[in-house]
Amino acid sequence: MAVLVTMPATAQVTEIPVGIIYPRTGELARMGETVVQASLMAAEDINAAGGIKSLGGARIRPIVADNRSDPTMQRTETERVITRFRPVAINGSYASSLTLVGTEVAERLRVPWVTGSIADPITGRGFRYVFQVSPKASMFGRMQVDFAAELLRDARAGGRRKVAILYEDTAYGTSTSKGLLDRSRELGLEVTLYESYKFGITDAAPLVTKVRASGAEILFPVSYLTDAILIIKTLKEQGVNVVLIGGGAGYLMPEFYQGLGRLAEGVFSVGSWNWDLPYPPVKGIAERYKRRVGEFIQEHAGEGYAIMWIIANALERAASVDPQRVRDALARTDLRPPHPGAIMPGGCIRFDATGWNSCVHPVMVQWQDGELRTVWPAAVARVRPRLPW
Amino acid sequence: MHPEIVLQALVNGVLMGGVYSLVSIGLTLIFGVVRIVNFAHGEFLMAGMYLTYWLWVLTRLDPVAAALVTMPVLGGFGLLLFRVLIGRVLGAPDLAQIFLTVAISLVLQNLALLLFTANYRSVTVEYATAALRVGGVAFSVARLIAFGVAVVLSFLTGVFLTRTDLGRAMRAVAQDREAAVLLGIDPNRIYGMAVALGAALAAAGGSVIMPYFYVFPTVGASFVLMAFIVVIMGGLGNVTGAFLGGLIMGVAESFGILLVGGHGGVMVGFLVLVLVLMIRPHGLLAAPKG
Repeated sequence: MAVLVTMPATAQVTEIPVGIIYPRTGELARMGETVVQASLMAAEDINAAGGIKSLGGARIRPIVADNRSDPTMQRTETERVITRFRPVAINGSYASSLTLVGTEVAERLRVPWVTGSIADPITGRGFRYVFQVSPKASMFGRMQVDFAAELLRDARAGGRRKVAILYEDTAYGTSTSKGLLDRSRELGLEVTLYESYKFGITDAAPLVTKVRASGAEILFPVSYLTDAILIIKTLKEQGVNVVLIGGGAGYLMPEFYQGLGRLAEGVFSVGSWNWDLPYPPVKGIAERYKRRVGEFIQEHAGEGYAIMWIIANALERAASVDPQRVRDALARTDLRPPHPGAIMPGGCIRFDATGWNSCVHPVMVQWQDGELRTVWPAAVARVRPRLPW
Repeated sequence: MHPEIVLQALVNGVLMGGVYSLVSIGLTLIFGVVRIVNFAHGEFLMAGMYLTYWLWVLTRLDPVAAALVTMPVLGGFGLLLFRVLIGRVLGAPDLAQIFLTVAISLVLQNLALLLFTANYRSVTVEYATAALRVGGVAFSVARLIAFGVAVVLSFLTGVFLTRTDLGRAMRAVAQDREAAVLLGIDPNRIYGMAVALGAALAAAGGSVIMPYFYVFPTVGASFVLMAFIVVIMGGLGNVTGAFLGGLIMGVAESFGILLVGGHGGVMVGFLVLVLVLMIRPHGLLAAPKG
């Protein structure tokens, strides 16, 4: 320790610690682990490409920490990683509730934090050390409805206008569904059913019968994975032919397709990233991730990969391992494809005064032949949306 | 409202009600015979579901056929539980009995959490979303099978209680413990059998819903609340009453959701319960006791 403290500031740096704090155990571990794997892969790629050249080719040293899906652990782990390893920046933590806690600690200890979490307050608190590469939560509902309106404008829709909103009675369900309702009315869609249900229903048949009675052509189920799967199975049972537009998360997981099989075909969802986005580095990233982990790379993992390169780029420009200088360099980020950090929908990475990547927007995806494909907006779409009409 | 929709709601309700009946019969049987409120009943259901799930994962055994395995296994577990734990508190104050079954429930839930994590697990069978259509009304094949099994098992339970010596002995103990003992019936043996049968029926319920539902450690809670309502509505300890009560609650829930809204299901269910109890304070079929 004494040696470290007395080391001159100009000493040659060979390793640069970067914190990677995600849930690796507990209820959020399933997704958290995918981000850790993608972030580690990015660190290897950065090092293989010669490390940080302005620092004499110093290598990125990933410091992986597990917050156990728990906000209290997030606080102690963030403190531990920062005080023990002195990282130049932190990449974390996918779940907004955890990121909100971790960034508080990082702000106090003046270490920049780059995140793919979507909650609006993350960059709404006037923090100087927080950078959000992902679209904000409030954009997702709007995107879903705008896309629904776009589908209904399609000639194949034949003048259909009716939408139904089914939402669970949780904080997530009520806030999201209100946004969907307001936007649907703004766009002149006919909302024939706006119905809440008790989270964790044992039988979706009565709800599905209501959807059927409403005559809706598009359904927004604001539900977590299990309820969504139950609803979709029951729709099929009762022969209700309705287009589903999901709200991300569970809809984008391999488990969604495994749980539903062919019934998942044609289901739409909103997402913050997808493995088939048309930016040059994405194809190689997706292929190597699949070889490494054994499944396709999901949205948050893609963000985790980008975050590592965004931090590397800031280090390159800062030519320093001082977190303050790295923070200032991050604030001046301006990346465009084909840079491996510039793979978020919208193309560029540029942070506004609050630290939010103002280039980014959500994307609409659809399960087609067992693969999750980007279908909207046109600038990033890889295939046309399939419609049952 | 279109008559087709009303009919569909009725079908939904009856089919779901069959499963409520099956789970409730076990609960009411244990209460009627052993005079103990089994708060761990939902966990018997949960255990039956996990067993069904793993049988399917490991051997691809059809979930409904799995009932042939889950019933004896959970029955044996119920018997063991009675011998080791429940039997010891029979003479104890009500509070001790309640704490015991609540404790068993919590232990089983957390054991499942430890062994299987909180993940939701489901099986995929070909008939999961198949349906027969009559007019515009869809009869889900998986639910029809579940309903059929529920009706058959309820009927067999009724036959067992009225036509076999063991069943008659069970009813005798339920009616008058002392008199039954005087006639040479060993009540502890009967109690153990009743708990075993109750657990086996819950396990069967767990197996038959697996084709269209999913299992997680606290899944029992979703069903057991309904089962308690059904048991009270049918008359504590009354098997036929529980069967009817299950169907009524299924239909009430279905129409509640259709007519009132997503939260109307439970509300209308309770409303029906209150109405039934106003007219028949001891439940649908139970005779008032002195």
